[in-house]
Amino acid sequence: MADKGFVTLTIADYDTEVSLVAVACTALSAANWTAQSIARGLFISGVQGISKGLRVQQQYGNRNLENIGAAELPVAQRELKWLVQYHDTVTLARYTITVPCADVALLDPDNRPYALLSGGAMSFFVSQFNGFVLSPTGHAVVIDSIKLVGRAL
Amino acid sequence: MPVTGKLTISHIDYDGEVSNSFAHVTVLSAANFDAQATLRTNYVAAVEAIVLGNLQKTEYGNMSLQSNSASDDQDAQRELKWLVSYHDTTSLKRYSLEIGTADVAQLDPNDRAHANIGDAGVVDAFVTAFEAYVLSPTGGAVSVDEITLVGRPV
Repeated sequence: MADKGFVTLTIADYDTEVSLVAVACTALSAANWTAQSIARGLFISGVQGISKGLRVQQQYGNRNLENIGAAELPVAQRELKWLVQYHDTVTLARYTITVPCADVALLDPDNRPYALLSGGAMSFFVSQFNGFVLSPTGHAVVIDSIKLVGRAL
Repeated sequence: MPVTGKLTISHIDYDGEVSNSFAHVTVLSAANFDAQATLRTNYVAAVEAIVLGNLQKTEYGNMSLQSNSASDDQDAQRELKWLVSYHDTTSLKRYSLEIGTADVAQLDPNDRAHANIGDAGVVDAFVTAFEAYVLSPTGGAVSVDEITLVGRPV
């Protein structure tokens, strides 16, 4: 499906309670980036003009709805997750994300709680992750391990 | 405040439950938009290869945290909202959204439940900017019908 644009504003009130304003808008592209930035700025100014709150966060981008059906494989369960552990290559601070519906066939038979990072799909994931993802402070990252996790027992 | 890039990938499992995975990524700009699209596509493909769920949705863009403070204005209460009613100019379908911390000074003294559209001031500026920027969920241009002051049910 085609991308759709969105903007979400978070507005704080007098006692720090927040509320959201979320709208659909034109999908961003390289070609319309500047024009959309101007239109978005005017829209945000328009909201500020009729609101007493303090804008604490804005988020904008594109959204692509790909699928609305359930997975066909019974083993596809969101409770089974890959816990991706990585670190910032500059600050060395450690971070994690989780990826649901883990494919447990990618576990390492010699180190059973962990994925085998040197094999096909997992190796591809590691190289794409390290090439694309940044730490929250904006630096390059390196994956340390990928562990199979679930709900606490 | 700094801007950060963000990617959210949503998957649906066997019994229809949805789960999200977030990642910080490079801040998007006109200059890097196409290059980042390639990297993102490859990354999503790489995630797809290690999971079994159905890819439901990807969402990417920029986020900026602008303040951690409360509003200094005592009248700024999220329970007071502007209910913006608008319609798709093509399908004529009606939609609405709410904006918290409504500035009640913008109410129309002659139609007290509604914002003063036609004030040649901030309400008109909002309507103009809204109609120029916002699209309906189906992608059509929109037109604001009215802006009503609402709150919690009484």
